[in-house]
Amino acid sequence: MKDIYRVIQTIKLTEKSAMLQETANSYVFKVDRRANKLEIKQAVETIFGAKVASVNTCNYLGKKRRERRSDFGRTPHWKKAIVRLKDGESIDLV
Amino acid sequence: MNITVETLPECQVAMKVEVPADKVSSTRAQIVSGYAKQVKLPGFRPGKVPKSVVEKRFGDGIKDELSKQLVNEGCQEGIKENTLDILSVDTITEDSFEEDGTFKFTASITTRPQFELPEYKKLAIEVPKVSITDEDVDKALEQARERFADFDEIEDKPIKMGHVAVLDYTGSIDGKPVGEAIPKANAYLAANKDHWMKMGDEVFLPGFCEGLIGANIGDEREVTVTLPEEFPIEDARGTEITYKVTVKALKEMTLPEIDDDLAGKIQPGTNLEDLKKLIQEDMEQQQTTQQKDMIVQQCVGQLTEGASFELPGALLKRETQATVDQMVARGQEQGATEEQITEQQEQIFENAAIQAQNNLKANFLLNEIAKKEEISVGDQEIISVIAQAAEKEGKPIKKFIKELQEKGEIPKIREQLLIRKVLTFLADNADVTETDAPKEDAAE
Repeated sequence: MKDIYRVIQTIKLTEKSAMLQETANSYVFKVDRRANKLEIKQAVETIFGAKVASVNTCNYLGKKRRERRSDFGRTPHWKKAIVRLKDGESIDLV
Repeated sequence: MNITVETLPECQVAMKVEVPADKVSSTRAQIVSGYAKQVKLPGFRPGKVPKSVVEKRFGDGIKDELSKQLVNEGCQEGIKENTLDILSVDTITEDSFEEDGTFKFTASITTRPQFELPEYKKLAIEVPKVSITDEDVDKALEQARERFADFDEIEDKPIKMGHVAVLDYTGSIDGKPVGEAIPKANAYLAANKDHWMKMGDEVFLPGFCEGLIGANIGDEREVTVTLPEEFPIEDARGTEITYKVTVKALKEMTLPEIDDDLAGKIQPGTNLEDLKKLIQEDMEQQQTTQQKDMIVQQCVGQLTEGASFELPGALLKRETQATVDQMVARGQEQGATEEQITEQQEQIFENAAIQAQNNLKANFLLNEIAKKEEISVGDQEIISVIAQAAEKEGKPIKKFIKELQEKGEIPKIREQLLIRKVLTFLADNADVTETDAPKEDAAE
């Protein structure tokens, strides 16, 4: 990825992510599928200014979407990144 | 809570309240949990949004609500502690969350004026007696007769007293139109077209009709009249106005005979005797209501004179403004132009101020009397009044009530009813003496 400002697409703010935030000081992002863990770490550190301890990623296939026909399209595939920050670090999400 | 109360003139009270930190935080927690139960955020099931998220997301709303609630509770407690008899909480100033977690605000409150009730029972009141003589009835009949008169065209005779002439006229004062010379004058004084005028001594302006006697149809005449001493506009009294009058047509009025026929016309299905009785009853009723009104007016007048106390300034101002608006609206209805109104502005304001003061004073006094005499308005009474009003408007009662509730009219209706009841009470308890007043007053 050339531009690290394109790595992070959005922050996932859900019950699960809120729980992770409280228990593991981890934040969940939706990221560009081409970005790797190092790039994600770099992006979080430059954009939010918080030290990153570790990054876990997982790829999600887009959901099937069809309208009354047997063939189907898909919602986009996407990548989720769970970023754990070092102790004492935090990101103000709202 | 730490509450200090400072009494100011004009029934104002400044109340300084300091809400302790733990109270603030507990109220805040309450509001946040209330929010958390209700908000819907994508990514969260309803009611499962963590409080931290809620607080961050809706921080401003929560703060507003918190201060509102704290002010509310603070005011209530302050009023209760100091047993203030309040009318309204006007403004909240200097409300701020301090760094140590406390919340401070100053409320300016209008209180009900404190006063001693003057003697309100056995008010001595004099009213003219209700008396209808045959003469009065005859007069009314005569008027009714004129309404049913026939008008025959006259073509070849000059104007005589008692004729009805159709006139165009324009007035001028020293060559200037009346409208310019006397701006306060009503439009009919300046000019009129196709005006029906019955020739008589006292019609329009003195001397006007006399000046027209002997004119034929199509004639143009100039008539000069002097405005009489009792003319309503003071500055214009004694002014000479020259009217250019064109006689367009002339009619003779034939009055119908006063008999059973006429009676039948005026009130179908009656003969003369019945009609006379009807008129008598009507007039009596009219006078009785007038008498009652006078009693009430005098009662209120005496009460307001007997009591003196300070009125809340803000309320007085509002009432004055409302009265001014009313007066202006009435003036416009009667055809006053905007210029006239601006000219008389000061006078209007002065009058309105006096009237508003009296109104307010009477209002307070009557309410106080109601409290003392334990006069109250039951729900049943209100409903019956509303039902009547609904019927008048032709709306279903339930819908009508709902409309009133939305507009917040119901307390007003209750207030009106209460005042009416107190007034009846006053009138019933007044010491009324009937006097033989001069006839004209009674008839008018």
